[in-house]
Amino acid sequence: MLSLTSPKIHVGVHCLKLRTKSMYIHAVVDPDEATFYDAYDNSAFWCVSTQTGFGPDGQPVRPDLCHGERGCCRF
Amino acid sequence: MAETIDPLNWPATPSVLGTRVKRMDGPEKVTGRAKYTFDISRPRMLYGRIVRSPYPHARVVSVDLTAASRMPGVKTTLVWRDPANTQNNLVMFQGDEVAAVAADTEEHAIDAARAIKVEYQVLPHVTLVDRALAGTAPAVFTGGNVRAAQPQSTGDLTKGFGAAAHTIEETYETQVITHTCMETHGTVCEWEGERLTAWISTQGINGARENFASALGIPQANVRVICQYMGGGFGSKALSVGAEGLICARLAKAANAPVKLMLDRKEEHLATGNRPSATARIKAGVSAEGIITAFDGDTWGTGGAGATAGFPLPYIYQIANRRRAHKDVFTNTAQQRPMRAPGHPQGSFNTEIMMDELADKVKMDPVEFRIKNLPPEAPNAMWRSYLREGAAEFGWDKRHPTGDKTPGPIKTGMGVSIHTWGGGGRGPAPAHCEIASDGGVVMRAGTQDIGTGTRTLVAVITADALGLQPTQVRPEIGDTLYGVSPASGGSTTAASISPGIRVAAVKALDALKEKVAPSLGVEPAALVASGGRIHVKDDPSKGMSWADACKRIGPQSITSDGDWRPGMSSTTTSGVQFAEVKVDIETGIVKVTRVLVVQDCGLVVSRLTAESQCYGGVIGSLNFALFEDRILDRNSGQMVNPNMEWYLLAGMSDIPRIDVRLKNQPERGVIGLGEPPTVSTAAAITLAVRNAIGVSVRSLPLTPARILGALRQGIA
Amino acid sequence: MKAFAYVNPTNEKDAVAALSPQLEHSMPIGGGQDLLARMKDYVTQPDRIVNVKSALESTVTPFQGGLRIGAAMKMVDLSEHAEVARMYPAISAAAIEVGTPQIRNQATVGGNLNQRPRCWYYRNEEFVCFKKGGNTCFSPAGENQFHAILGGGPSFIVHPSSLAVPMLAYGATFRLSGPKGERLVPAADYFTLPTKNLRTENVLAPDELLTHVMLPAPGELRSGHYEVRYKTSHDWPIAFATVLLSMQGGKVRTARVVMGAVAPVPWRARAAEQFLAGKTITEATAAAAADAALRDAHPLSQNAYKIEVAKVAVKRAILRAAGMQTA
Repeated sequence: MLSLTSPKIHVGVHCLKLRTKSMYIHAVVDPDEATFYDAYDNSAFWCVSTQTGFGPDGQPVRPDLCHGERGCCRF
Repeated sequence: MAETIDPLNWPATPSVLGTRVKRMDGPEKVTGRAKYTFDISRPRMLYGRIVRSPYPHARVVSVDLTAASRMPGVKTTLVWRDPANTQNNLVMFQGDEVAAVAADTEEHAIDAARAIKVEYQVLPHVTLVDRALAGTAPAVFTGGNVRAAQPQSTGDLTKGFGAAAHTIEETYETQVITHTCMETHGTVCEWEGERLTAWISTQGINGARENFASALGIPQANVRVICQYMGGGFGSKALSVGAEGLICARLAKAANAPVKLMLDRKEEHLATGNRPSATARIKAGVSAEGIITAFDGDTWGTGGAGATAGFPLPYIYQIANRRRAHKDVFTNTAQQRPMRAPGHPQGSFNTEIMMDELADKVKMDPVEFRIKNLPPEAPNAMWRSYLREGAAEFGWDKRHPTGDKTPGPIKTGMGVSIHTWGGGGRGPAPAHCEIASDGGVVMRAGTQDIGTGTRTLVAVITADALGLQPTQVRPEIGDTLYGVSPASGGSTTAASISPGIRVAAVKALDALKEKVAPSLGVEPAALVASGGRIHVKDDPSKGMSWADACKRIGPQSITSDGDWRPGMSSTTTSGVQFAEVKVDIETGIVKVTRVLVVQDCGLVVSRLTAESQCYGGVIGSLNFALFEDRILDRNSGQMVNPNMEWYLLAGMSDIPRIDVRLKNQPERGVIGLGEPPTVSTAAAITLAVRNAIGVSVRSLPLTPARILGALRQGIA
Repeated sequence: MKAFAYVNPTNEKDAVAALSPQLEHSMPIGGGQDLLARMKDYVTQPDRIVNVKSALESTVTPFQGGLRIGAAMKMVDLSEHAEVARMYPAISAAAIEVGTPQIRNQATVGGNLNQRPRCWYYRNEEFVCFKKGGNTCFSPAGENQFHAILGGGPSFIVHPSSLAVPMLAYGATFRLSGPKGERLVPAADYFTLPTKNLRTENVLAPDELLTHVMLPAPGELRSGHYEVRYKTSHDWPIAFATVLLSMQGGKVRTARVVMGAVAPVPWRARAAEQFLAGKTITEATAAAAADAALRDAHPLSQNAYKIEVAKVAVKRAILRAAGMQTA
């Protein structure tokens, strides 16, 4: 579900190979969601090159790990 | 008879929408004619098999393919985890992929995979969450085994606890479970030059297409993905095509032959995702009037090797003064994948058990206590009404206070819990309609049926617009040749695709009216379609049968396109569930006897399949509550129950009577409901157990050991 | 699955001849509900399997006032057999609870008695335990919620057979056929503790077949059988018990109490039997007998609850034998 708490992945900031479910699902955000609970992060990510949650360098894939510092990042 | 201000919008008086239409592909499925990925067979097809790490953490030192390559029927082998690549020769969980093989039969492939000699340097692993948290586990993950999220704070905790008449301090916990799809993950890949056709058990054919293309470095236009039927995904098939999908494509390319690669049950448990665990150490305060004044929570969970494990907490109830600090614990286990309402069942459980403990402190009925602490009532927040309606229906007035005082070992109890979920979808989600001169109607969309009954939904909407029966419509879905459409996840499919289908059908009907009107001597706008006829509005006798009308189309069919448009769908559902249980306090065995579901999903499109989602959701959550548990050996970190013998799931006799009260909110348009009904059953069951036995069980699953343990502690 | 030869003998002699003295080399197969699964999981990899369904009897015949059951009899037929139900109701009660209808339609009496442990360490290839020729039992330091509370190890499997328990209670004798002819072994001597025999659970040699179960005339017995299951559908019992009472007036003359799923063998609780002798059955005497039955139990780290559950099974089996209502 794309929700208020969904991760924000930005072209130019994050690796172009970084993927998460909300990129493939066109959900509608309900602003009232914020009154039902606070933000939380439970999104799963994968690298489109490996098709797993680990990059070509064997390290886990997440927005905080995939923004340019790894040799495998592509922009 | 359809009558709306905007003719493209949902009709005020639907004919088929919201009725109980039998699942169109039921006969196909029960007779075995429906072809799942598992059933696909191609000429010259080979079988793929993956070699997986038996260790939760190890370095692959060498992979020797020699013996395997010489095995009977072997066509190609592949190293996935190259020992020479010092950056990427680690396996991070039991079941991590190392190598693969394709052979002429499934048996040969399995034999050959076992003949691939892999040498491992076993490395220290972390699979125990407590040790990772305590810092006594081996350091496995770069940056640490534990990652703290930004603490969240609202209001004034000191003030909140100051206003409390009672406080509780407890720890609640839900376990890791796996998706356990009846059809395992798997793919059949067939290449023609640089073009790939993939049959894959997926929740998103178009997403799979993009993933195959990007991973293989070929144009998306070269990839066709087909999934006509699939045996369950629950979120685990909504992401990548998986290492298994990519390996299948590579094996097929290398072997120059189609390859089928379906996982077995053990692989499915080990490597295709899971629902993260969720633990919450909570201190909460409640005023004498029953208002929760403060909530202070430390939470953690594991989503596996480097993946997140967040969940919403507190869940729905309004607590002005609150603090929450969460930690993701990384373990050498397969990464989590979204699982039916990701985060919500965990948040629901960890909140709702606390709710009844607080209610008891102030001696309030759980329903009344919840109502006191809910957000204001709104179309997307209907819990107050549903709680009252459900309580009346369920016989809540017969509920005894905490602890069944009747003699004998069998105690009965009732519990209640609530949930929310988005389920709002949008476009692009195009649909294409054809009406042929023979009367045939095709509605085509690049969506997929993940078992929810999407085919039936397509037919219901189309038939409703055209005044036909659903069986007169041929839905065509499950193939990327039918166009682009979103993946099925987040309960968004119905809300995404329904508007486009309606629009395409209404436009096709308009075109048909143009053809028919001259022979009736009226303006096209004067015509309506109903009861299998096209006729003048308010005068059914002045018209003709559908078949006669279509004869006027000529050899070139009517075609029309539709897409999602605003105003025909919405987001956010509310639901409430009641459960009744019998607990044998001598053996600790729990039997769920009744569950009542009160659930909305906006406009009810296909009532029978909607109810079916509620049944499935309840059963899934009952399994979460009572049975499912991914059990890892505490020493080796290996899963001891990667099967369906000791990974327990309810059988027919474990499933209670389930009553569904589906609330129709037609003015909101379509909202999905795949996920909401699976959120809160576990909490309702656990609270019913609490009501029966008089003590809380604060962790799942509700094993006899836990029930008896709680009773022993409660008495002490 | 490893490739294997398949032998389909039509008589007992040929079937025995097709076996081998080497452990797990040539193995008999009945319904295959256990062996085939072990073969698929690479737990057991025989070179040859010998179909015994055509070679062994699959009927129940009168025998010295009791009954003789052919080892190839299907569980479904046993569970529906009227004479068995009349004379040995606890056997019928155990048989109907085994597996699922599909399993009972395939599984045989001999296969049920000789099936291997369901222990998850034994069943997973990764763990080379005592039962697979290794030098450890993984359960004491590992995940042992369903493991043994009696027997003292060093392997802490629980015996998987539901039939073994009532058959031991009724004093069954097993007829074994081997290369040197037949031998008759009382059920009490057939099942062996790991201290005596670590690799297997009974005295059946690799080149022997269990051909018949002989049940003595039951006499005037009252029986009770009670199984505690986590799930209602298709699950292994956490603990269960068969209780046979011989009454004199309103009092127990002699009792037989046998427990299942608590030890590496079907476990006869002599202390409970002695306690019951001379007693009137009440909730209190049944509970005290159950306490006696589990007096020697030693839990592992996670299965102490099984002691409580086993007590309940014994207590309720006693009450049922006495014709009293139980939960």
